[in-house]
Amino acid sequence: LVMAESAVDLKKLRFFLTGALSCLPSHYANQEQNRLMLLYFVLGSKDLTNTLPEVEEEKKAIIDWVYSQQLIPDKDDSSLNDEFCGFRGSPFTGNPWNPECNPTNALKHDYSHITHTYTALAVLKMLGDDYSRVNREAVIRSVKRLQNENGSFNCLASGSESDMRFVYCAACICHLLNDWNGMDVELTANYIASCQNYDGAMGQAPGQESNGGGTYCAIASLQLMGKLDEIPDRELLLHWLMDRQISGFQGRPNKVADTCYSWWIGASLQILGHFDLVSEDICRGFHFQCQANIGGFSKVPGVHPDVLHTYFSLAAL
Amino acid sequence: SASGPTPRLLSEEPEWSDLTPIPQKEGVEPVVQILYDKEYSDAMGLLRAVMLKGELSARALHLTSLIIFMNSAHFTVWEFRRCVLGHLASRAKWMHELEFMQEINHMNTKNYQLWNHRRAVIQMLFPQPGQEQQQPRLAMDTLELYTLEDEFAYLAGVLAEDSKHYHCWAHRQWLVGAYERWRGEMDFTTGLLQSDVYNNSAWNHRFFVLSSGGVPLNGALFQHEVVFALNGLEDHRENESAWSFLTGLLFKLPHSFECHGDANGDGGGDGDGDGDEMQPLGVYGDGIEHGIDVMHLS
Repeated sequence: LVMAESAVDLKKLRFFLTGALSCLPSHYANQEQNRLMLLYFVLGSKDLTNTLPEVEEEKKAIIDWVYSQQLIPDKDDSSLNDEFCGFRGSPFTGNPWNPECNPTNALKHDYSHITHTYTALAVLKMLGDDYSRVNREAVIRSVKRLQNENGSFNCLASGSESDMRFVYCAACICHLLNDWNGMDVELTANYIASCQNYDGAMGQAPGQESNGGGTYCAIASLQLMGKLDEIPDRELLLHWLMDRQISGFQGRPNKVADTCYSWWIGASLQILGHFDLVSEDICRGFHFQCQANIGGFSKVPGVHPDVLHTYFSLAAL
Repeated sequence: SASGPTPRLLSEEPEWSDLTPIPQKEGVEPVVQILYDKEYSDAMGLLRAVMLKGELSARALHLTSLIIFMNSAHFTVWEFRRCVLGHLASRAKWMHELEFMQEINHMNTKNYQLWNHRRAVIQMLFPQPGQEQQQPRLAMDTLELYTLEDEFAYLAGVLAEDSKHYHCWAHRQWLVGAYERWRGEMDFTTGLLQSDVYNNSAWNHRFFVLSSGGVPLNGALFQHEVVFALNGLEDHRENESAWSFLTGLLFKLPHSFECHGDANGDGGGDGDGDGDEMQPLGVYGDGIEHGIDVMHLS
């Protein structure tokens, strides 16, 4: 059931987010290893609606939980894992409860994940933490290790797919820690440029179909790197972005609108200085068709809301 | 369940009696906790014990199967599964992954881990050209055959159900490049575009094949493709995918088009690369000029 409203229902949203911050229903079961990212979506949503926790104890509890997911170098032989550092998505490998990040021994098959390193740093910053417990050197070294010869990034040191999402995570980590030793910036910029397709936009990897998510990650990364002027064909890219609005935004030509693309495409236009090309009222109309009765937003009208589409809808709005 | 005894948890089974499940340590006030089943947390508890011990056995493989059925997005479990498979070094077991992945695919086909695993399996079963030396040795304990043609057929099946499946197209693109199987891809996209001329994924794949050097691009083919794009626009003037393809042909090919007077597709030009003329686009007939005019107007 959806409510056709013209404003974000903040009261219901608050309930939805408070519930999610505490616990999520069983259909999120396949997201156990991504809980840090989900935490980011929930707190990000709260940040956008000025409802972040204000009580120190509450903030401390969240900050401690995040820090307990930091993977730190083995206390006896750091070479065992000092290139696998950063943050885990949740304590699923059985790591000890260690919010103080005290020295500990490495566990086998225990690796940080680039997305969770990024979202951990973002969450800590949102809650006002000063990164005093972050092992900056180990994090930066580990991010650097994830970069491939062609400039793309993997997400796990043990091996994974490599695509534009992780390039963006790497750029965010370097930006948040203000340390660009985490990547070969030239190499990354070249990789991104090589992903611009014949239609002006970017896919997840060179030659892959252009889509909103990959395009945003490419543009946002270049902006963070200070290399926005290295987009080979900016004009064509702008045309592609503009053409994605069909009511809300679609992620690829000839597909349906999905609320998260309002963010991926809208933010891309914003970064390129052309948010004026967005028809805001029409987009808003689409979002409010996707606002759920229980609060929050779904990807399309009539399905369950989720924290990802809630966050990106709020960010877009 | 109302009737019958409650099934035992996995950790309570005799075959697992030597290991104690390791719990997750959440601290006093966990956040974004997920309310999953007891069976899942029990199985993960066992897996943590197995991983800590470093056991890369057949029962460890089976455990990863059970967990993946309950949570097919768990990247660490998939990675551990590959470690076990690598250690067991059995072609039969790697072949069985095709069946296993099919079962997982039924449950959720839009899954990065599944398609990443698929790539790893294919790389194991088929050494990439030039990389035969680096290929790990597998026990040849099966007579079952699976060919690259079978893999292409499988991908065609996935696309028949969802013609814009992003992961599948990415995998196909990788397969074509890694194993140099360019022939047939143009016809494959033609078929899909006949069913749905708006299929942007198919247009993209077609451009990928043309621009990657896998198919020799000459004047005849170029002309053919321009006409193909224009046909895609006939009756569908607003077809963005076909427009992008057309402008891509005209302006975005990696080697700016050296048509060398081969506009008639008769292999003309003296072939020695010098003295051949670049033909003006109008040589290719009214079609292109008409198309370009429309583009400027719209």
